[in-house]
Amino acid sequence: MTEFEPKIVAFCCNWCSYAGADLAGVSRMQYPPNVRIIKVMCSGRIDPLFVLMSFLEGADAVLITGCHIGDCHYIDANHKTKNRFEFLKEMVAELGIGEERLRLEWISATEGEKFAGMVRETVEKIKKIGPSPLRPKVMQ
Amino acid sequence: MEEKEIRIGVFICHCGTNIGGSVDVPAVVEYAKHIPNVVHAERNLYTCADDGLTAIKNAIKEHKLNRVIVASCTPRTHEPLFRSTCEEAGLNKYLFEFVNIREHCSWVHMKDPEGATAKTKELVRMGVARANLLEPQEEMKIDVEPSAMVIGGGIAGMTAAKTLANQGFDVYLVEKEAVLGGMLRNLYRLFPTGEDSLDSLQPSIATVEGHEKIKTLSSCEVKEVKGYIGNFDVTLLREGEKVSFKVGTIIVATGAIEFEPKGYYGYGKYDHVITQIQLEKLLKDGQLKKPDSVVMIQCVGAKGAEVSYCSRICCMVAIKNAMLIKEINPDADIHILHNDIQAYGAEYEELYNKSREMGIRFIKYTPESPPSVTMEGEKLKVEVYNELFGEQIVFGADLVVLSTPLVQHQGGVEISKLLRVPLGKDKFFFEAHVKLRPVDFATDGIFLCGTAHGPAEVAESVSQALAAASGAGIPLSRGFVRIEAISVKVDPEACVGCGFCVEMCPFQALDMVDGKLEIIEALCKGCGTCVATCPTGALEQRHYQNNQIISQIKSIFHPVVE
Amino acid sequence: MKGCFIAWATDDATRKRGGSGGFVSAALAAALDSKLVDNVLVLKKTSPYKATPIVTNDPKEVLECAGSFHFVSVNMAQYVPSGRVALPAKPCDARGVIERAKRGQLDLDDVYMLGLNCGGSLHPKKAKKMVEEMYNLDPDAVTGEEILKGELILKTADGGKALKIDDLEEKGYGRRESCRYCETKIPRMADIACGNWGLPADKVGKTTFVEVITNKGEEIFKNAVDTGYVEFEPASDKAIELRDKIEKVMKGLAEKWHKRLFEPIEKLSDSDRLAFYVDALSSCIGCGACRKACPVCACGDNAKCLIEGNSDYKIPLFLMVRLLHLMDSCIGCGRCEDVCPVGIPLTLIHRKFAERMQNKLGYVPGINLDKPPYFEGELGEDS
Repeated sequence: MTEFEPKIVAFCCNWCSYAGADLAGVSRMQYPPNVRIIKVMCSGRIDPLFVLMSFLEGADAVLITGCHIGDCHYIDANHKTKNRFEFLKEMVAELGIGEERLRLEWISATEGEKFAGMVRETVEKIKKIGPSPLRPKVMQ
Repeated sequence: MEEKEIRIGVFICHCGTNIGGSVDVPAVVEYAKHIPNVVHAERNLYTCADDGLTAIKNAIKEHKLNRVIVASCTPRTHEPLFRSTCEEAGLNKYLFEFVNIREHCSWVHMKDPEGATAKTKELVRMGVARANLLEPQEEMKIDVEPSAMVIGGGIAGMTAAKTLANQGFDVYLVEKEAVLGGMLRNLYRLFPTGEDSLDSLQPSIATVEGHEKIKTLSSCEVKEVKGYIGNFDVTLLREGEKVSFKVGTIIVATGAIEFEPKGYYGYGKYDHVITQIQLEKLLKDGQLKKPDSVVMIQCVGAKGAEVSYCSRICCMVAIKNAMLIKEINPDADIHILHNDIQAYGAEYEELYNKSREMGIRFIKYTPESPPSVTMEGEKLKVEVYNELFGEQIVFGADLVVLSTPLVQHQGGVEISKLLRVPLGKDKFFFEAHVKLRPVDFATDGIFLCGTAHGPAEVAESVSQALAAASGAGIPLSRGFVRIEAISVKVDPEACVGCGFCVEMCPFQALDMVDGKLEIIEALCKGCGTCVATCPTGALEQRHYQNNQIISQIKSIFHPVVE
Repeated sequence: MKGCFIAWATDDATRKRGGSGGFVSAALAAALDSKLVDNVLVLKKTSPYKATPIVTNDPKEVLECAGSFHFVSVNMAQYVPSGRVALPAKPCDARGVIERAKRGQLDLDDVYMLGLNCGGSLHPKKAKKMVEEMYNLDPDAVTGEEILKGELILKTADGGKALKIDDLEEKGYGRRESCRYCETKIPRMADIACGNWGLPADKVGKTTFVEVITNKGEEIFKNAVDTGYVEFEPASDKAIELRDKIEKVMKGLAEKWHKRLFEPIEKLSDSDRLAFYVDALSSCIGCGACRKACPVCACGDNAKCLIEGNSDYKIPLFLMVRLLHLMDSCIGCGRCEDVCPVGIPLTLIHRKFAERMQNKLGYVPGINLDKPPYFEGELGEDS
């Protein structure tokens, strides 16, 4: 049987974390091909609905990423991201699907290694704990 | 919008071997052809090259494409190009979708061609899912305040200010010191020409101060910058008093400072251990007593734990200053201890050779066994392990000069926070793209030049300043900018008037008027935070609609291939 | 005139019809009479098991609606009309009203809430069955009901019958499940809190214990007295103490029920708990009744929870989004559970998620106009 390959959805903001992911590429930092990036202008645009839907669709992990607190291109919009993340975190904990599956990381445009490292780490961790129990039956 | 059949064209770029090297591009093209609504798929060696762009334009006509997807590099550099290509072929540029398969795929999965190819197919699929739901948008035209602010009155800032002012724009030149000139004021003669720094500086200062279009604001600190390209509201603090004005563009020229080598080689402990800038001052003031023996140590604090980078200019500074000492005392014994001499280009190489001819000696040390400086009687004693000869050498020295790197200063860090523009790992300002947009920030309307960007010598700083001024002048002379159509809109029928979105907006673009939500579009910057907050579907962000993002999520998990 | 009083309707008929001295109905009618409010929202009983919320400006109609009514699961918050209005409000009605005010659905300054102490209500359908099975009575023969000292008394033409509520609940009847563990027994978020707890034995059934809490409460109480609809006397310290004691006992009981119902879920391992949620929530047929019945939800027909997911989701997107959106705002009124046609223990599950967040945030919805934390710029500590 082939090894389980996690499917990871990463939401990135245009100004910082997407650029950080770009820099990881420019610097040829290698990480496994399990992540799918969805770009929004600001992490504040990441509707918790998108995160919940990602899990229901079968994501084994969801990464919410944005500019560091204080560096947000939209003044303090990422504070709201943090707030919503707290709700999602509790929700994931109560559902019991494994808190490791949801992660919030602030990644600046210059932190390519942080982006690459986050993906590597998450893939490794999720491979250990296995597919999300919320994966639809067809996928399993 | 009139409902019509969706016809998507997909262009997959090899980017030479950058993508083609690890992604099976032909297989991705085959895959793309089978995704519903894709009526045309092709691959290009370089989609961004002339023939690639022509291919897009031709295909739009030939295949009646009403959506275009380019799968290549990053939208952060190439989206404007492909968007305007679409526009040239009569397609609204918001019907273009970018899929990043280089930075986010081929380059990060170089050793996994199979994985990279499979991922590329999915990324293209996600792009198609989003493209299906894209809607044409119209951009708002916003008037530009025909003035600029230059932060920093050093040679770079003054050059930028002059250039813009000569184009006829009002320039506010902000300097935190009482006088203009910056770092150059402390220097003596400049390499490679040997001219006096004041000779380059004084005319600049005179021009700037006498220019009717330049308002010099010295002893001023930038306190607040609000707004966006074309309309920045600036507040300065001048001796506790607020000064406010409006500008269209901003240039950051805040410079750098010399790293203070506290604790290095007896600096601060022994009087005759000084830095290059201190030496320049002594030379300039004629205070340097005729030294018999001088040792210069390169890379002090640089390329190490505190400052990781090479400061580029210090080798030439040391060589130039060593030669100046030789002018004072041709018999002086001068050693330059280095771990690699940076003397790029013909002129610098020539200077380096000349200095050797003058008898200046160069000794290579290794970072593992750096030199040491101690006091022996009245004289400084320098010991160094000569890597070339494999032996320990000891000199006596009247003067030890430390070559330290240029570093960012607190003022620069604060400006970065104020303007919300990033600093790099080296703490210097970080440009939008190292090659393609070297004097721009990712934020529209803000530019950078000089040593704020990193160690540079005068000529480089001036070139950057000219480039930045030219960039900053474009929107000023055009008189308007188009604002990306990513603002939010409300469906009044769906809005229930809960009002929670109002306080979410970082820009006060939302307001409740008689229980109804009103959006001040010019204030909306398109972060979409309110849209994510809205408990209903009433708020939507143009070009980042809920259904578009949802379609991307779903497409990750649903291989919808015919 | 804030504080505790014992009050009653001056009109004999109202006093008799009212469950406890007719104060609430009299004060509502008085408010209409003197144009303190434009309308009154009351429940109109159409059978012992059915009552409909009506909006009226006729004081007489208000007085006719007097009477204790426990076989009801309606939440009044959704029926509050615009303009100045007064209504009787159980704690969950009052909390619903406040949550709707936060969502711009009404102006709290215009709403006068005459709170009703509440030990819980019974679901009408279940009540009917209970009357047959436990009381051995013809449901249609019941003319009235009353809860006194832990007993549910059903009145009929030829007398009545009382059973212990505890016993009824052990057999699966009695109060709605959410009422059993609800810890808000006296609606102190309302303008006035009314009930029979604390009344001396000789006044039970003839008077109302009234606590006037807010300025609006004062206004409506004073108006009822000034217009001659109501008479009152101060409540004795003993009465106040007794009321507090009863409240404490009721809360204690609620805590026990809470433990009994929630602990088994809390004890589950992560995977078993998920299995429980998936099992319960996946039977959702997506009818949307829970959302329509939810007094907190003000999202209308374009609510985000209505965005379509896929049919193969283990938990419907609709419920996932509702769980999230209600994490800070669920008031535990029990309406979702009441109306779910497939019997999902929705309130229990909503509470499970909500308590986690509300406890963490120290936020209690429906007691004041504090903004729901979901809509805050940031939560206390920084990253």
